[in-house]
This record gives sequence, C-alpha cells and structure tokens, in this order.
Amino acid sequence: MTEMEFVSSTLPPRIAGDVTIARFSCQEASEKWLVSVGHSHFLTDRTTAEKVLALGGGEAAGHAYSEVYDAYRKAVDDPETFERFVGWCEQNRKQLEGLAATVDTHALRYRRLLLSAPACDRIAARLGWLFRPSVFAMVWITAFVLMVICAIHRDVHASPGNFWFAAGLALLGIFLHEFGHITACVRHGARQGGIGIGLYWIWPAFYADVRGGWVLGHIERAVVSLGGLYFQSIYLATICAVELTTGDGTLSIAIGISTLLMLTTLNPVFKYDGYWILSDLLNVTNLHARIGSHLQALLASDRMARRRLFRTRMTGVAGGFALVATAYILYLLEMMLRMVASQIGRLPGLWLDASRAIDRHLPIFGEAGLSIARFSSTLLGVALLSLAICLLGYRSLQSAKMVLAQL
Amino acid sequence: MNEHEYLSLEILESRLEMEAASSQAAAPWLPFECWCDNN
Repeated sequence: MTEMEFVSSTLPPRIAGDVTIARFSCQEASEKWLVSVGHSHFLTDRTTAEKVLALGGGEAAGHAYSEVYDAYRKAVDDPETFERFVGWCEQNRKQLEGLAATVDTHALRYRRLLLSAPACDRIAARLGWLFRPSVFAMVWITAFVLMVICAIHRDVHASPGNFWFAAGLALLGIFLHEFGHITACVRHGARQGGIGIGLYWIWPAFYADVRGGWVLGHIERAVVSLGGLYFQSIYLATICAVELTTGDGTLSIAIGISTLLMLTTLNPVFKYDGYWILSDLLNVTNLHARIGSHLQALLASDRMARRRLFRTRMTGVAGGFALVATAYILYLLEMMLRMVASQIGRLPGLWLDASRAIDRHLPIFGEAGLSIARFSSTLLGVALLSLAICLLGYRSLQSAKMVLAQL
Repeated sequence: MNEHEYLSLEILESRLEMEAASSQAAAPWLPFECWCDNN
C-alpha cells in the first residue's frame, strides 16, 4: 500500500485530549521526554514523544485528520521515515487511542472532589508569595522556633481541653496542608486538579491533585511536595502562639495531633508526602516500583550481575527503605493489636455499667445513655480496628507475595 | 523488533499528594486513648 492510499483509506489513530511534550530531567543515562496526555504522564524517548505529539490535538483539531500526517511528513522530510511512522501508528493504534484513558496508577480509591481546580487556582494565586525563597526560609524558622518553645512548655495548661474539638482543629490543618501543595504547584506554573478526599489502603485521606507537577524540575517538584507541610507548619505555629498566650488545653491537644500527623506524613513507606519528597530529591520516578524491581534483580541475578547491581545508589535506597517499611508495618500492627486487646479488656466492665444503669431505670439521656454510648463506641472501635488489622495484614501479605512471585 | 515497531511508554505515578483525613489514620491509638482519658 502506498502512502497516499493509506492516508485516504485509513484514518490515523487519534489521541483524545491535549498532548504536550517536554524534556524531563532524571537520573537515567539516556535522555527522557515527558508526554502529558490529559492527567496521565509518560516517560519515553524523544522520537516517540514527537510522534505522539503529532497524533494529539483532541476534538479541537476537527476532522482535518490527514493534516497529522502532512505535518509529520514536513517535519521528518524523509519518505522512508514517514512510512515507518505510518506503520508504527497502525501497529500501536489501540494503545495510542487509549492513552488519554490510561488507568490511574494511584492507590487512592473512591475519590471525591471537595474543591474544584478553578476555585483552588483563585485562592492559590493570592498565597503564592509565601513561596518566595526569603519568605519560605523565614516562615520555616519562625514556625520551628515556636513549635520548640511550645514543646518545652507543653505540660503547663490553664484548662484540661476537649479532644474532639482539638481533632477538628487538626482536621482544618490537614485541609490547609493540601492548599500548600496546590499553591506551590500553581506558583511554579503547573496545572492542578483541586482538593478532594478518598480512601488510601485502609485510611480516609485528603488529597491535592498535583499530577500536573510532573512537568516541573525535580527541585520544584520537591517544593510542591513540601508545600503541604509548610502550610501546616504556619497553621501549627499560629496555634502554638495562641496556646503559649492562653495556656488552653484544647490547643495543646490539637498541637499534639497535628505534630503526629506531620511526622507520619513524612514516612515514605506509604505514598504520603515523605514518599514524594524522597522521590523528588533523589530524582527517581516510580520509586516504590523501582525499589521493588531492584530488590528482585538483586535476589534473582547471578553473582557477577549482583555484584555490579549492589554497587549502585539504588541498593542503599532500597535496603534502607525495606528496613523502614518492615519495621513500620510491624510497629503499626503491634500498636493496633495492643489497642484492640486493651479495648476488649474494657468491654465487660463497660457492659456491666450499662446493664446496671438500665436495671436501675436511669433516664436514657442521662447516665444510662452515656454508659451505653461508651460500650457501643468501644465495641465499634474494636470492630473497626480489627477490620483495619485484617486489611493491613492482607495488603502486606499481598505485597510480599507479589515480590516473592517475581523471584 | 526495532524502535519503530512498538510504543514504549513508562507510565508515571498519579501524583496525588495527601495526608490522612483522621488522626486515627496517622496514629490509630490516639483517639481511643484520649477517649479513655477523658472518660
């Protein structure tokens, strides 16, 4: 089939959605190019990226479809190369046409958007100045000093405090945390997709959609990843300042919860901020997958290859990561099991209190109600925690099985 | 097979920065212990 016959008889594959390409800075020896199709991002070589770009354009390109070929023919200026391009298009038609609908690789499920991208853009535009380098450094230092002072005075409170109100304050801090990621993303000129909530592993989690951040350099990406903790530190420092002035116990509990959350988010085992910060600073993409395949290669390869692999930087990263991950999962499981045991131990006493209160015909909205509520909430807590333990154990075993299956 | 015969693309992870929405998620023991302390 000649080139013209091909063009007239078959429509070339079309990639729905906007396609952009850019050179990507990474640790790899060969040059990598970033291909962005809608919200999905791919790494490839330059030639493939240019070919994908030639096929993009979505609905805006209308029906002047053969123009794709014309444009590419002009660009390559070589009939043989062009023919190979036509053949390549046909061979990969299905994959090319499905690029825009590539399955999301993130483990965050049941996502629901809480704040749209345009709304986030408007707010982020007003907060961008917080990421000026001088302001960034000053705020971090001030926040850190305030948090240290607060930690030193943490036992001096004017009032005992309310846990649930404090938890609400901490929750607000998390929402601001997500704004930090979004603001950094917008400030550096990348696209963002709003703030939402979803389920990650076994936990509900807020998220900031900064998938557009892949177009940035790795240091800028690290700022986006740090942006959340940065905003949360500002919030926490404000609470610290008020707590130091008033001695309010609720604020003190809120500081405790927020600090724990911030430390947890730095853990790179799950895909919280620590994972992305580490991945950006090391300038390594798909870190979990890379660590997994490196460990598999180390275990499966022959002696010579293993020695060569062992000397690479990834061995240190993978080894450290595997140790931290195992220790963290075991710690989490142990903590949860210990808590379930202690809560189960409390159940008979709580049940006795509740049944006594009912026997004495105490008003249901008074002591009897409170006893029943205590018993039911503890029972519910035990049930939820047991479910969480089962899920965590199941997911961990699944991951371990996947690694072992590759050996 | 030469480079023109297949499409090789490495899918990058979906970049969703996030934090646990409840303190239970980050520190599962915390709310219960506080609940016990408060009661």
